[in-house]
Amino acid sequence: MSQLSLNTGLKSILTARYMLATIGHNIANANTPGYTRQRVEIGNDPPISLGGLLLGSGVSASNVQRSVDSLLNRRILTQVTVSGRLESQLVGMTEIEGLLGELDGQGVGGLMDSFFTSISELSTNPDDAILASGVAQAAVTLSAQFNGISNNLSDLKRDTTAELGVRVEEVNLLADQVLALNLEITKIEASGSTANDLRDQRDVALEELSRRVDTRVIEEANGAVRVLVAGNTLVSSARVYELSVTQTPGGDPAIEIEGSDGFVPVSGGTIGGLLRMAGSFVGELSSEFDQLAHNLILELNRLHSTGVPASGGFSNLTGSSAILDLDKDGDLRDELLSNAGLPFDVSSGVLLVNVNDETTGDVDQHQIQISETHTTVGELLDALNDVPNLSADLDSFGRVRLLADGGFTFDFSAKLDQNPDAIGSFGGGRASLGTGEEPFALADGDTLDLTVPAGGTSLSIAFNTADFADVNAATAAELAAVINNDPGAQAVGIVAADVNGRLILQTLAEGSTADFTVDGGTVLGALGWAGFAGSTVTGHDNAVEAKIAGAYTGDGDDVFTFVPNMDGTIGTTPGLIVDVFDATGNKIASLDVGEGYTPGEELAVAEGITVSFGLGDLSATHNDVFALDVVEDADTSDVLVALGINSLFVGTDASDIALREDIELDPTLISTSVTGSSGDNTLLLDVLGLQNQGVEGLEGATFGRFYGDTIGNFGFELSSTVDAIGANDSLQASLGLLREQVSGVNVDEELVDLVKYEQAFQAASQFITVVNELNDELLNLL
Amino acid sequence: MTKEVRALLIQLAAWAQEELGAQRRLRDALSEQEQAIRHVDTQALSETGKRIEEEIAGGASRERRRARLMTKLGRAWAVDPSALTLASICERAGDGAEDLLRLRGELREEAAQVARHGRRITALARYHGGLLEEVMRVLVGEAGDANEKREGVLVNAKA
Repeated sequence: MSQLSLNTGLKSILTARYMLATIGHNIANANTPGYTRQRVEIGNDPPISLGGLLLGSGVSASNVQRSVDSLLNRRILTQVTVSGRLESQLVGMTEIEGLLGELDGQGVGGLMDSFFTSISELSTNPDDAILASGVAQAAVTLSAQFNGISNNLSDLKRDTTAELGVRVEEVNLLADQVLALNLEITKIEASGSTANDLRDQRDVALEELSRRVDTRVIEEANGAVRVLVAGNTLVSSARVYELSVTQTPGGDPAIEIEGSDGFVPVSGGTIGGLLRMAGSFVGELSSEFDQLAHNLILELNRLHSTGVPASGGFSNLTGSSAILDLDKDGDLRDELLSNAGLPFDVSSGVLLVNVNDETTGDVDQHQIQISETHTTVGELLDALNDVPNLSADLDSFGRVRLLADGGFTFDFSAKLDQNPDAIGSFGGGRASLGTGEEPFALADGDTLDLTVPAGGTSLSIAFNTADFADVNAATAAELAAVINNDPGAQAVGIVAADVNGRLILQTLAEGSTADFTVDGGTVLGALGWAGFAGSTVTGHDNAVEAKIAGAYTGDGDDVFTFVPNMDGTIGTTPGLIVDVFDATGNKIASLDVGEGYTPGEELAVAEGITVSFGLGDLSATHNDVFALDVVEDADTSDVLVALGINSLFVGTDASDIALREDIELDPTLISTSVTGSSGDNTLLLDVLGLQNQGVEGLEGATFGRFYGDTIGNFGFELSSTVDAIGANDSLQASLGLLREQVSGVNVDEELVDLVKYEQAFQAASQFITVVNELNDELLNLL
Repeated sequence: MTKEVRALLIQLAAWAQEELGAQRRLRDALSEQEQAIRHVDTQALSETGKRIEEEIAGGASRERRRARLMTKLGRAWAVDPSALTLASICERAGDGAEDLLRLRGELREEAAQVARHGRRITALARYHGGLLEEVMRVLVGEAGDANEKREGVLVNAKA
């Protein structure tokens, strides 16, 4: 009996000792991160049968348990992972926000506005060198901002990749800790105890792991945990599979794990955030800035390359882009233009080349056909060299170099031919007879009989099937070629020309003494000249001078044909009208040049074009006519942009966009017009128009809209991240509070409990002393 | 046996009956207190302490009554009252003190049990006191009241 009592007392003492020790342990670890409050589980021991009686055998501590809510802990781990990702994203985003410069007004958007504002200012006085300098400065600043953003984003990507390496090393170290703790925990718990403090340490390590990667923790029956990262085992029961940083084929950082070939799709935690930041986020933002810069270069250069500086055409130009020898045969000339390593595409189209005679002011316009699939670099150079007074070659870097002969300049503008009637077929000095519009239904062997001059030498020009693609549908050009090649015609000074599908037959001599007689021939009917048989055509002493001004503002290329409605004298004959037709035959203007018209007065034609006529006679009977080619785009092939000839910006994207170096040194080289005339700001106005035009390469958005969307999307992402962090913090705080309630140590409560117990215990001790004394007295009495 | 002595013996038996009940209540309270100490149950410890306190307070009037009865019996038998015990009273009274003799046995047994409880609790209390002192010293330090706390350990070493 006494042995039983002794044992019961001993167990109760041990139980109380465990409880008090646990209270002390809780208080001592109140501020230990990850510590979980512990409590002693007490159970009544089974009764012992003694002498037929069931006697209680006291209480004992069955275990010291951690106060843990596993589900709550899993939710906290998930939120920690989210938090890690959001926080690392926010760090990167805040850095990007700073480098975008929008907060201090130095962003690309503001600088684009400044650039276009400087263009607007220059357009008020295109000849002003100071205003041109302002444009150059704005372009330099804008380029520098693009370069800065591009470089900073690259730096951010590099730094983020470096930080990824550090975080991955941390994950590997934490994984090692978890493995080591697993081994200790399983060893201790195999004996039936609970390794509370080691479990707490492991929980802390797992939480730190979750802060870095999205983990899944699976607890085994023996107390060890397996840790999975995005489905891949990081910590198994026996070893750690280390993570490492690698690169995707696209150059983005990625994570791989020991023993596996593929990438580990980490999406959460700090590492997930860094991967997203260095990969898609910075990549997309960088790509959008590149896209914006690329299209800004392309669109501005498209206009600028076909413009003319206020100082006039160029005596020489060198492209900024080099041809690459992609077929490695040592010859650049055989490279296809559209596949010569140029930064911008070359497509099929036409290049207009103007050679200006600086002495006479005459403009010699030439068109060069470019084929995306056939035209080589050599063919382009040959075509340019075929233009009189212009030479072209490649410099030692493989760049196209153009040089005008002395006394000549060149440009690529869509300028209007200011003297479109160069041959004088519209009341000119030459004796001139025109036809209606082609085609002409000739027969093989048709002839045209003439006497040049009238009463002079007779000749007969024969037209044979071999001279025409289809003799029954002969063109004006084919007819003119036959006439011009005829030795008899050449001998007497008679020539022919094709004026927009009309055949013009003329003397080379001018004035009222110049004439020829249409004697006859079988071709007269086909040419509509049957009524002229035996008639003499005479030249004029006062040749009509038709002068064109303005700039073409219409869409697409066109040909305007000017014809009088009757025979008459400009400024004198009542009802004398010059009708203007477009290429489709629609009359677009009727210009009254008869009685009341002051010769030289400018008359509006259409689409920004004006015309003036000098004194002279016009003849509808003789089919007087002249044609004016109008071109919307002087380089529909973009070959100038691709070669970097007369570009405003050089480079291809945000990383290398820059103002052309010689323009930076001499801003008066900025193209301001399409004519080169003083005060002409048409090109600048076209540039200004770009602000409001949708750009194909920007999915139809304007520059401002595209940039606004880019910044807006970034701002939305940033704002969403900040909001998400706020929400996540609240949720984490709430979960943390719940965990504190379950697992945390409240030192005050624990101390108050301890002091209360101490007081109650002391009071009880007092009574027991008294009881014992009284009991002694009573026993003495008995 | 005089009429007076018989009346005093009846009153003494009544006192013994009353004391027996008190000892039983005290034993129950001590048992509960022992459980409270084992379970570190502060509230139960306070409650049982209060019950023991009430028992102790109630014992004072019984003690005065017993002392008066013993004085009167001593005077009736012309002996020193402090020399009287229940055993010697029963022996002197002979057959006239059968009830008192039975009650004296029961009371002795009950008092012995209370004494054992007291000793066990005292041992328990001594150990607890040491533990508490150690825990408090770790948590709040020894400065100031360390000696006072040592003096304040209220354990009856004799028990």
